[in-house]
Amino acid sequence: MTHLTDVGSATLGSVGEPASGSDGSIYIDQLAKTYERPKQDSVQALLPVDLSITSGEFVSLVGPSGCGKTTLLMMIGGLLDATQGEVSVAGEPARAAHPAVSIAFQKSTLLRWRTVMDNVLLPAQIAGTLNAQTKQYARDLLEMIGLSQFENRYPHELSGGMQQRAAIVRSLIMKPSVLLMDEPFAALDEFTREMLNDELLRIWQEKSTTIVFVTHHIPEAVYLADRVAVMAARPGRLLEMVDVDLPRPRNEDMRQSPRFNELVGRIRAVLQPEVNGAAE
Amino acid sequence: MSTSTATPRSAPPAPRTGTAPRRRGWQVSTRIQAAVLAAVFLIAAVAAWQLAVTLEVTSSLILPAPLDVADSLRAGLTPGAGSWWGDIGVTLQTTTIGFFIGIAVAFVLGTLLAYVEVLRMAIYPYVIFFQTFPKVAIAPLLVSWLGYGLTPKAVIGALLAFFPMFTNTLAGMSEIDKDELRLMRSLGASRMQEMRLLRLPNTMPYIFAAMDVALVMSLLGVIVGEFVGADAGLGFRIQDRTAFGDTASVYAVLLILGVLGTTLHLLMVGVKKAVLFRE
Repeated sequence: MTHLTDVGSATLGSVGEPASGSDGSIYIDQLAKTYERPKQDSVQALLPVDLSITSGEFVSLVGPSGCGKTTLLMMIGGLLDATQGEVSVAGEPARAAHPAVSIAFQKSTLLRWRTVMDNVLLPAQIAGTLNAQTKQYARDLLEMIGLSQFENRYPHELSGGMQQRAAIVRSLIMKPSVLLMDEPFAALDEFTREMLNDELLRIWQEKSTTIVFVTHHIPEAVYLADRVAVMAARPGRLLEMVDVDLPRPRNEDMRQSPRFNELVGRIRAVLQPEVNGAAE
Repeated sequence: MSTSTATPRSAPPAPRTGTAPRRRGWQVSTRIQAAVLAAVFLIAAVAAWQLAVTLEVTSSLILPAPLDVADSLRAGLTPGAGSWWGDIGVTLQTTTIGFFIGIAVAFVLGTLLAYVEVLRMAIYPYVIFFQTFPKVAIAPLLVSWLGYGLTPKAVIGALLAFFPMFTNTLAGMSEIDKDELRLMRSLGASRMQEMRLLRLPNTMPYIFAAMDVALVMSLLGVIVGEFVGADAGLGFRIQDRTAFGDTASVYAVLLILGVLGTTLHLLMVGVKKAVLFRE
């Protein structure tokens, strides 16, 4: 909270410096996950993966179900132990409740007995850092994402898209330098998804947070990311890293651009034999 | 979970959309119609009852006249010697004690078992056994152990109040959304914080659904206990009046019991509305 200097001012961009020295780098070294099953072959959820993500980068993990993308994300978040290999975030080994890391889940996981505001403040309440400044920051964030009118509403009074917006605000309240997102927009309709894509990019640009974004939606992965990690299933593994050289800031028109479609097509082509193979 | 788990309203209702005025009008008139119909049912039932008595379908020992019941009720509720207020007080007091002991023990045990899996697996077979066991059957035994006083009745009441509360506490504490648990873990919540901020509020709707049932069960247990052996209470009064062939008074006491049960239920609904978050 020490970086909160000018709360209440209109310039939101200056409010959101990441708290933990703004180091949002992630190093993944031969990280793998295997599930042992009694009297059966073990399941290789993820074959060893090497990946370096620099601070402030936006990386999408894309692939079919069972490709280990969520497994990888949860190991980065410290919510799942690796079978082998190492992962460090902001220079420290990954662990649950790493102060630099925040996780947004597929379901909004807003607690239904808490108002939007109380949900947003939950991380600060748990960390014991809830004060007037945090509340003001929450208000600023809600304002930025267009939920000011709803801070005293309960989750069920909100649409699915608004619930995810509130969840995103909650994941930003501790000023993380790394934001891990597990298919946060998967349950939304296409229009809402695209709208939230743009909002997420806007936030990312303002906060200069590292984002690792899991999705099974190839165009979404390309539209958002600097790099796309293409993953395949059975066994779960990283196939290829694809650089997205579309200019920033991204906008709606780029979804029609030849380069965008080329990248989407390339990723689809990488995944196609895999998906067909798996179907047999 | 077991079959006797009182289910809370799990999914919150969908946000109300604008109702067409015509439909709204229809709803209001339906409510009025229902109220009128309910009154008609009552009048018809009492009229049929009076008719049966007038035609002497059965003896007045089986079916006393409505007016006789009303007279008995008035006499019983008139303060002074022979009034039933003492009995009402005893039954209410015993029910309340049994209820609170039952739900308190159930809550603690349910929470404990939700947390400690090995204990849950060890104890659950016994829980099933006692849950399906007709608990009022041990009332005579309890009275012979604990005497004619309030204690054995409170114990039966507590025993009956225990199970709905126990199963629902266990359900509410353990049936937590996996992502919500992961969220708490990712935020570094301690076990106490997880309890206070997630499990307990998650359990509240289950608890209130259970308390509603538990209160009525407790009353049931107490009445049965009073049947077995007592010198006061509404259960005792029913036995006493039956022995005297004073059927009109028995009917009057039953009426009081009905009102008592409904009042307790409404009280519970009120508490629930005041405490639970808006749905």
